[in-house]
Amino acid sequence: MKAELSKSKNPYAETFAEFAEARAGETPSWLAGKRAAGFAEFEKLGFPTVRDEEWKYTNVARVAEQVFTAADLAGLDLALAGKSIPFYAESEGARLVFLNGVFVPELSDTSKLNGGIEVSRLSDAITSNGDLVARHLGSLAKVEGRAFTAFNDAFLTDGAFIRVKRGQAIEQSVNLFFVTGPQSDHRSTFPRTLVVAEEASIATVVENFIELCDERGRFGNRTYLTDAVAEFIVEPGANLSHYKVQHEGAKAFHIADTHVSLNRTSVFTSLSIALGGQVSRHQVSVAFGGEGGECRLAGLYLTADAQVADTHISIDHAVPRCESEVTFRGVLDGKSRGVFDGKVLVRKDAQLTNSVTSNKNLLLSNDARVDTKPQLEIFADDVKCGHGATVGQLENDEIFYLLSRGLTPEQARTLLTYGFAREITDGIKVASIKSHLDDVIGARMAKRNTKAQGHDGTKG
Amino acid sequence: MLEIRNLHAKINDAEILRGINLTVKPGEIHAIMGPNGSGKSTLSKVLSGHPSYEVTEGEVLYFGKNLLEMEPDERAREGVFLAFQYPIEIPGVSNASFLRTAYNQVRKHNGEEELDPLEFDDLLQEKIQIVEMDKAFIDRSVNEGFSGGEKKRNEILQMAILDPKLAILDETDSGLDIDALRIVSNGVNKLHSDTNAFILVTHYQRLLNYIQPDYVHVLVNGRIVKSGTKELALELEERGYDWIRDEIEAAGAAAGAGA
Repeated sequence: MKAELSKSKNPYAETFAEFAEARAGETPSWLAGKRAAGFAEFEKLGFPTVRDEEWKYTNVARVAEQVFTAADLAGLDLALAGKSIPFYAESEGARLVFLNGVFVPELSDTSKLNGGIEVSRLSDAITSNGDLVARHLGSLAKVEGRAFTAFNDAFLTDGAFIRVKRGQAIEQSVNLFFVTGPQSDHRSTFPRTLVVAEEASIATVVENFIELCDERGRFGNRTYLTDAVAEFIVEPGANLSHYKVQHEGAKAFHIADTHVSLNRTSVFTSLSIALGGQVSRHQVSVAFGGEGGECRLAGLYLTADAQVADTHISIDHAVPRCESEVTFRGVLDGKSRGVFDGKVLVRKDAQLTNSVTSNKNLLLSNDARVDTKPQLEIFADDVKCGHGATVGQLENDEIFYLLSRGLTPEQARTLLTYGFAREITDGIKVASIKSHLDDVIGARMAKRNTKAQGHDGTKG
Repeated sequence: MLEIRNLHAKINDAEILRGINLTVKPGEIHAIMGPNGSGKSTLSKVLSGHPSYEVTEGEVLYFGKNLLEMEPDERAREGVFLAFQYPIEIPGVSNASFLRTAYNQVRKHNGEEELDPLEFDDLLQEKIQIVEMDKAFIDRSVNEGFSGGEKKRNEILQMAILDPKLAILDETDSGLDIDALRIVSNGVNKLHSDTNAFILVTHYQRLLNYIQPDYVHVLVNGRIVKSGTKELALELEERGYDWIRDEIEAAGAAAGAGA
């Protein structure tokens, strides 16, 4: 009887019990309660399956069929790791680094950030800004019905806390590095970000999710899970820019849940890039809580081989006079698959809403596939809303035009692919991220060009 | 440099070219005129290697080599240039990077060193004056949002950069106002030399007021039915194409009667 019971038990139950017990007494009680509630919800839900409408196209059965243990720093050479992490120029003096889910003070440096902003690890903020964290952490990222968010809550240990003080304009971007390094095969991390942009403040936050190469310089040979949650509270008149660069390893699972609350006349601009992972999903939920808010979400997913990249957007226009703009582009090669689901809800009171959603996809191979579903649900009568989606291949006429000028077919395809992505890459204001993305596109195209050119993905 | 012999070509099973013969030597300018649907544009596209057209008969020699066996990009690198009747818009690809990539491909093909962006910019600044184009166009996406005249000037700019041996201008004059026509024509005249040749495909004689052709050919129903000098173009302007059709019919009838 006992054995039968444990069979049907959640495979993480024992781990969670140990985890919670080890932390008994050391955290504020609300945190322990939050973890317990998170695990209870996770236990109730289990991992989603393709029978769940929201996960119809993104199969995480491979996540469910194995048990990931929490990653840690055991056996890691921090100095070596520090040299291998691709810290870009803009992150000097303005970064927090988490390696295998653990905050690394030796690699973090916030010396360039002035007093207008507080940037610290979440566990410190729980002490220094206890009330603020207690009020906001999980206030947007509700666990109900969301297994991965609940899973994150259950094993929440640390993360990044950013508070942009009232009226402060911070020019220097704040850069968060969630790095999964060696010793992480079949391990998981639970990155957590909490950003509070106080009234009339301005700041830029960059979330980087990257895999570190192994001792031999190889990438992509570890199966790991990144289960990330981020919450952005944008108070009246604040202007927050956000970048998310997902460049996980080729075998990684990356599930990210991003929540944004926008207040009166506040602005949130986000650019999300998905490059890595065997299965990745970025779910963004935006709620307008005050008039005159603006939200611009853009993104690019670049997939190859058998990758799956899923973007789920949900925007709730609950109040009048707000604007939302969603612009996502996908470039898909190999047998990869893209999923775009963009929901915009305009409630009855949200008059004078402006909203436009656009999703365009470029298929570079005949085997790549995209399921795109922009949706509008409008209950107000005086609004301007639109949406559109396209899936296509490179135009033969465009290729011929370039060939007629002496470009090789490979050059033509590369140039056209760059051109397609530029609608998004042009919007990147952090120069290093832009050039990194250009490099990745260039490298992907070079790699595909050296392969057999049987499936060139042009219209027949 | 170019020898077209009995060229037949079709698109979607419709035969458009029905036996073209034409010889072009370095330094020459040939005008090919003809009514709509006579096959003028098809000839341009076949020569540049457009994949939609299938050559069913005949041959084309370009400096003694079989042009039809060459891929479109190979033809371009060997010095064949087609100025498009409808230049393609390419969003997101800047004129400058496109032109530099193309130019360097040709350089590489000729065993010359490639130019870096700065060196290339100097060349671009020089050539852009030929077409009197605003420098802002260099950084804009290829042809995107360009007016008809700007697109055609951009074609001539590309031609000036690539410096082809054989340039085919497919109705470059159509849709141009008088200023643009003058600019485009000036460009061609400046680029014309003893070593290169031009084929001007045009519906109207107007362009030939600005560019002096050595030969004028009339294309009807996929064949060159009459060749002459620029006086022929003037005659066509004045009398239209019907009299040529009548001539052919008469000749055909005579041949039929004689048989």
